[in-house]
Amino acid sequence: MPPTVRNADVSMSVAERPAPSQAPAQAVAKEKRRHNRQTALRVLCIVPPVALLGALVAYPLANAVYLSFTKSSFINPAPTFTGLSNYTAILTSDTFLTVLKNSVIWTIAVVAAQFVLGLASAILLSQKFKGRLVLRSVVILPWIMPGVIAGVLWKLLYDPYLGPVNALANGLGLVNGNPAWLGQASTALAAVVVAAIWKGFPLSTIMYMAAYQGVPNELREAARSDGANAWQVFRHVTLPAMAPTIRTTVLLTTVWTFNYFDLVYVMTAGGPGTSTEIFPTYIYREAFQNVRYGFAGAYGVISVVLLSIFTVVYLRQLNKSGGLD
Amino acid sequence: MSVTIARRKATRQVGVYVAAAALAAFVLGPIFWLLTTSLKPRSEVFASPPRFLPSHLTFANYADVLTPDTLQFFVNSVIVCLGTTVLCLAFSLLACFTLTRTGTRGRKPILLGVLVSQLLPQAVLLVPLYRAANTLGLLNSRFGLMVAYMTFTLPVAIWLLRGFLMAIPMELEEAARLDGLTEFGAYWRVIVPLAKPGVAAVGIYVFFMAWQDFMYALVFLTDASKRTLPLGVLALIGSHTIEWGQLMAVSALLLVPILLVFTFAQRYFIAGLTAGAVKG
Repeated sequence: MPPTVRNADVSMSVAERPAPSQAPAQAVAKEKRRHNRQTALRVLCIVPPVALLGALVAYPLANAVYLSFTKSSFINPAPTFTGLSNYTAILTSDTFLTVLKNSVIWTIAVVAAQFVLGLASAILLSQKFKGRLVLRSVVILPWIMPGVIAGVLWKLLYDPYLGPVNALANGLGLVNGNPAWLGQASTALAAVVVAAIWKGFPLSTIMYMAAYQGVPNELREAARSDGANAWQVFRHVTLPAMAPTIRTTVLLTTVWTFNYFDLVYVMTAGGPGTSTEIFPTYIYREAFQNVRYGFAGAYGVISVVLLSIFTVVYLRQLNKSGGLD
Repeated sequence: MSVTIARRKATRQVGVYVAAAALAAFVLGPIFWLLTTSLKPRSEVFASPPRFLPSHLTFANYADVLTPDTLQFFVNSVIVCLGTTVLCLAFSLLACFTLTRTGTRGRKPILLGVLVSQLLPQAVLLVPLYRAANTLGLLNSRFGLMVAYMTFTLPVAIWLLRGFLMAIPMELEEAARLDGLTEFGAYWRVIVPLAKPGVAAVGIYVFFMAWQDFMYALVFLTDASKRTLPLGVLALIGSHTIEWGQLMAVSALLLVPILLVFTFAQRYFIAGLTAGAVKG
């Protein structure tokens, strides 16, 4: 009697088989049943999570696209189909240009600063000095702090009369009087950007610290013994070895920053005027303050399209490195 | 020769300490301000120019904010975040059984979908989710908020958990199968227990993400009794004056659980953070 019957035999038709004896036939049927049961169980396990994601992500996304072709108002909340009129209205408006410009400045400034600060602090925290371990564990604090808290805290720091920012700036002779950093259109965006850098850079620090310490010391030693100076070692050995982590971290922080709502909403709610309005805050304003779901949907679709550039780059990189297998 | 090397080393050391001090000041300065403001008497909170150190410490702000309302918000936050964590772990453990099987057809598109959902702007999903929740009567409900939180926690949880489970050697599962366990039995009784630290990391990360949220709570909860703590913080910002002392005291309270979680589970937390994202 053959010891086991493998799946390959199951696919063979009965006619091809040289007159099987009773026992293997039973084993084949048993194996087939087992295999079917196994497949059924796999399907059964994946259906609830996928259905849930469908209801929570795919349906809302499709619905937002649908809403973007409709019009509704506070008085008449039932959406009526209006074709592309939301898009033409948005794309020709000054507000859209402001939101787009703010979003681009906000994302680039925050991501670039988080990259530089994250990398610098990661290298610093990998050096030997007293208090390094303490600094390593507290550096994460801004990142684990809920965005609401960071928002109200920075609102206080920037307060013209009560906050330490003006007190320090006055003490150092940088400003005169009590400028309202968040209250004037010329400085509000920059002020929120600084708060966002503070809130988010520790994530980059943690990532880069892990990557920096993952570079084998022998590589650096070898370069040094070949006569490379500190900068050359960093530029030609350390940095290339960290490149995959840097690429992923920069892509992810770009997406997260572009989508970040809490900080701006709490600090300025998009104001003064529209000077700090970015896509998430403006979508919120259109949907829940102006109750114009159509406009909110169209802004949402536009922001998804803009983001998809980064999403595609990220997914391609992940696929190339085998992360999806 | 050795003198110049020693001197260069010394300047380098000084540079490191200066940089470390600057980093510490940037990171801790605002947190220092949060804590001292929460401990200042009201007259000093509203002093201009501000006092950098309180003349004496008082817990008056904490006493003012520790009202039954705040406690209710706190309890709401804990219930919602724990509920989200449990639901999210259950669903992602289920999904990962299938998603860790090699040779399952349709695995790649599902994983792609999971990743894309992670990167979508939540603000876009908010309006349809709000309307759906309204129709289903899930607005102003803690359960409704738990479900809504899975919009952004479940994709991350599935992705992270899969990474941890895939790191367990396949031979262990094969050995368990030879001992007579079914495929699911081997997964549930051998692989998942071995990946316990990873499961813990995912759970902590999910709790953390839910605890951070503000946008969903803002839209889903209008009833004061259902509010979570971040909304309680915002409610302290009046239209005329802001009671900064109380605001900072509530903020400090909101920080406590996440600090506790972080202190006791820092290792898992960092593992969760770096594992999923940096695979690329």
